[in-house]
Amino acid sequence: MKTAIFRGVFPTFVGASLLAFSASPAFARSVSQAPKSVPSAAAPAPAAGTPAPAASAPSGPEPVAAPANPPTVSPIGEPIWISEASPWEARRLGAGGQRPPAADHDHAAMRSESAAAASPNAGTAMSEARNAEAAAEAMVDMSTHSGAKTLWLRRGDDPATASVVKADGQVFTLRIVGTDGKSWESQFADNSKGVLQAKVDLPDMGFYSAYLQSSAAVAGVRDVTVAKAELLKANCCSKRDVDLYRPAIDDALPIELVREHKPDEKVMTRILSGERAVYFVRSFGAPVEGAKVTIQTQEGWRKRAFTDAQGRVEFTLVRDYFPDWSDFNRRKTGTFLVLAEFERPEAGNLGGVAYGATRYHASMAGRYYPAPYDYQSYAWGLGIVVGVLLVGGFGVWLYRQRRTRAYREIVFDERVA
Amino acid sequence: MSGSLEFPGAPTARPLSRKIRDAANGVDFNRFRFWLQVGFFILLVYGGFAGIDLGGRLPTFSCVYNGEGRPGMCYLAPLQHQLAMPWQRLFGEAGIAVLTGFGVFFLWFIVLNKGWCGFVCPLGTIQDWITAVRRRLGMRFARYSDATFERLSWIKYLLLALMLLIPLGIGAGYVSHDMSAPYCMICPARLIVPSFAGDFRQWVVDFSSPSKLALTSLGALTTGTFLIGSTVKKRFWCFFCPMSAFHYLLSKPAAFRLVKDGGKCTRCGDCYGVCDLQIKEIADDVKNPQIMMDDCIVCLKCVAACPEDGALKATFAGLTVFESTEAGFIKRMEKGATT
Repeated sequence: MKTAIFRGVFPTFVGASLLAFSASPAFARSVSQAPKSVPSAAAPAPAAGTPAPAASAPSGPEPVAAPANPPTVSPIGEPIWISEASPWEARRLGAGGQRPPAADHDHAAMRSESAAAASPNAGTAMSEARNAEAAAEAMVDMSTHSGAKTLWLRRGDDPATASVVKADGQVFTLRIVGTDGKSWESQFADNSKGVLQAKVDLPDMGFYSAYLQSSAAVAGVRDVTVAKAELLKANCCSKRDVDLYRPAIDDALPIELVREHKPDEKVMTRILSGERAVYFVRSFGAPVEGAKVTIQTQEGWRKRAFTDAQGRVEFTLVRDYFPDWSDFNRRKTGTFLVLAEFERPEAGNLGGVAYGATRYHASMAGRYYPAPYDYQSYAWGLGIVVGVLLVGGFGVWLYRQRRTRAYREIVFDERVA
Repeated sequence: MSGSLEFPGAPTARPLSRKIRDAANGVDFNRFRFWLQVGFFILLVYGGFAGIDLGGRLPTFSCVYNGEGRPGMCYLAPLQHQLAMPWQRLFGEAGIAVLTGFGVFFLWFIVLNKGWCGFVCPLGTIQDWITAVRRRLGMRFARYSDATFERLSWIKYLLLALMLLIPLGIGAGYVSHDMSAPYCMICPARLIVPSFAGDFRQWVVDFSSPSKLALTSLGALTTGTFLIGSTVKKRFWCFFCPMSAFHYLLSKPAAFRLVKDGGKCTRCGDCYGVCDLQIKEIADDVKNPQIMMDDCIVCLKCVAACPEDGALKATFAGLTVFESTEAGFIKRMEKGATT
């Protein structure tokens, strides 16, 4: 009933208010900022859909050098991706346990670790909180913008069922790049629960990109995989520094997925259901045309598209959250996974294995939230204000009319009496 | 022996300081205040577009919901958010940050005292503009009866208490997080101030939870009440504003003060007549020199309307900056600028 009310009255009000809004400073600002989208400090950004190649980046189809820490995570088969949200957290705030759980991790052990990792300060006090759901939401909200990140490595193209990668004694090098171009390394290592986990401390406010690059040659084909996570350290007071809103990009990578930041994106901006999500596929800083890009949400919605000449691909995130009013949670966090791949006829030899072609794979996860127009109503807001004005105005008028009415003298006719 | 020759009865040259003081005391006060308010309004509603950043501890309604336009934040917003922290943090290391924030707020506050309300507050300025429109339309204004005044005067303290207790309840886990910043949610400034910067996103009712539904509906209700109330009553909302109550509780050490010399007061009632907040003590109390009451917004209209030399004055750190004079009163009366 609620959403029906929204849908019926919201467009009517928006249509009228847009006329007024189009003359407002906010409208002028949004228009004037549009060409400045997707800047980059590390390299020219794919602004307004056109990523500029970095001057220092190699542009030819050179074979990719093996990483310093040779990976053993096979890029073949199910994709590998970096998750900022633990799988149990995503399910708790997202699908509500409707979809099957991941298969190869210890839920109980990692649940306790998640609470501590998400926000150490909040966790202890919140554990005693009466309102458990609110406490959990608060922890997640804080962890989203906190500089202390905990990352998991996951396997599978379905965010709802992708398993956490077991350690099995392996250690992988994670490289983090800031918008200022500075980079450092961290490690995916056993978190003592048998699962690969990396902890990253972001030094300054702004966006960072974390990369896990791997390469392997099997059956005459070399597969190069770059798993990426876009990390953000922010607080509400850092809103005015435009450098904070730029994505961190590495033009030395053979494949990279870059999310287009909105023209008016701020550090607190969220990706919303029903809105467009734009991605660029780049190789050594240059756009890749014809790359296959797939997006899948944890609710199971999947869509595939191919990049244009600018390496750009656009999806409209599905609205997939229609609970009863009593169950509605505006902080409901959904996870989606974007996968990109393309192939080039690059031959060579890797670790003694000859190959005749190279396939590039990139992965990047994101979070999305219910859009405010799913639960906010301009019509009701304006209706209440106008109603109060009408009722209040009439009441004041009536009150004054009664107070100013001429005194009526009561005359007794004594002759009658 | 040196010096100029003076003749008895000849006009003597006034010293420069005296000239400045006379000019200040004879100023067209309403016009001066109007333009000062316009300046502060532009600063606090659009200053952010110019990159001005005054921090997040301002003792006036530089509304936090005014996105890019605000040059700083009204302290009530961060205060409520800070108090909503889990108690273990609030009464632990985070308490230092809370106290520091309060200290910065206090330093801002003691400069102008409640003059922040009378001269700086954008919501107060909007109310004065509505009053000006009402006057031009020929509508008469309303006044509370003494009994109504007494009944309503405690509401701002109740709102202040709720504004502090509800966030503390959130931190303790007793109250939903959806109740965070409860006063901001019902403050008319949340809807009205951003609208002046072209942002109408707050004019909504939020159905996402019962708490949000209640608070945003109440916000729309208070905004409607604010608009209709300000049309018939001068400074309608200031009477209920918890920031005003908060100011009053901290006003003792403030540098900017309203002082009355009861010995010079004739109790003519001019000051009460122009007082937007209907403060009777300004006319009746001839004993207490610190005449600023809890509802006072230190707009200084009473000083401008007083015909007695030195009966009312505004002082800053003990120095008189504006005082009532007969000459100034007559000058303003001739211009019709005292009401």
